[in-house]
Amino acid sequence: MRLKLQRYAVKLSRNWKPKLITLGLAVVVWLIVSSVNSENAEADIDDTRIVIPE
Amino acid sequence: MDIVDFLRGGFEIIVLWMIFYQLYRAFRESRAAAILAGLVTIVALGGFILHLTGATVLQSIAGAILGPGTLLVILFQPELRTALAKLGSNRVLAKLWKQEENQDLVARICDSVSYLVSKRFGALIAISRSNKLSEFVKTGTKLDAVCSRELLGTIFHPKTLLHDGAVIVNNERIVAAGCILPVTGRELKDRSLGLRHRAGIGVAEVSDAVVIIVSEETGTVSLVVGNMMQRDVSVSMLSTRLTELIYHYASHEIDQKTDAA
Repeated sequence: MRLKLQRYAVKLSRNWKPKLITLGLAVVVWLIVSSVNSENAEADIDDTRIVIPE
Repeated sequence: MDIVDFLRGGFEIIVLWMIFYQLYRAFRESRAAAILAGLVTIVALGGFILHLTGATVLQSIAGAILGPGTLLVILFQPELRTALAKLGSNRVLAKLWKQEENQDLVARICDSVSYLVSKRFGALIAISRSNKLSEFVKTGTKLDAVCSRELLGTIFHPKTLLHDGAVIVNNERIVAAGCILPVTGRELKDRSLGLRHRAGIGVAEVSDAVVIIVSEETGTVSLVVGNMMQRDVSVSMLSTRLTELIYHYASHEIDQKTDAA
């Protein structure tokens, strides 16, 4: 089991730079998209507010 | 944020990562990698600046350009074509679409082998299947040519520069000639098997390629797949076996007429 994990770690650490860059890119894209989605959701809630005329 | 949202976010990031990394791997050896890097930088920087400054008009213009994906299609046209070609050469799709072409390839190879035998030209032809033999393609002279009797006859003519190496056929095209293949380290019973046969057996050991060897000394044809070698194969038998091995890929256990070992 330990040997298997070691092998997997070696495999994962190979070519680590592009893996790290693409992981960073994935995190950034996810953060941007999720923030835009939450903004849109808030805007939708604002739009559905019932405005009672004075 | 509860645990479900956290796990969902993690899962989404991992999926995105895999997509980006696979895109990087697909594009890294082409000019598209540089284009992609440039595009990502422009979009990231531009998006960041527009978001900060709140320039709504510029934002909508940028959205109109990038939104429909027209720019991406224009920039990545060759890569998209390659990707579609790769999709088309998928084994399952190939079975649906490429039956005729594969059989045509078999006919052309058999015709070429028949010519090589008649001229007593030694030849080594490796036909790739799922393993594309890219590490051996690099060792030779790259070609991208339709397989034909004239071309193979020219390549294996003893007075040409490429005749000593192997020809690699990939997706029904000759992708390289003069390739250096790994020689088997096994002790072979038959001493008449030369270096060409040893290289043919060697490449079949490390891949799932179908290898055809024409002996320069005896003019006989051998077929090697995996650890098995079939010798003195007639052209009609070669046609049948190649159709089975290339087209009916599932049944690639070669009949053991003669074991190379």
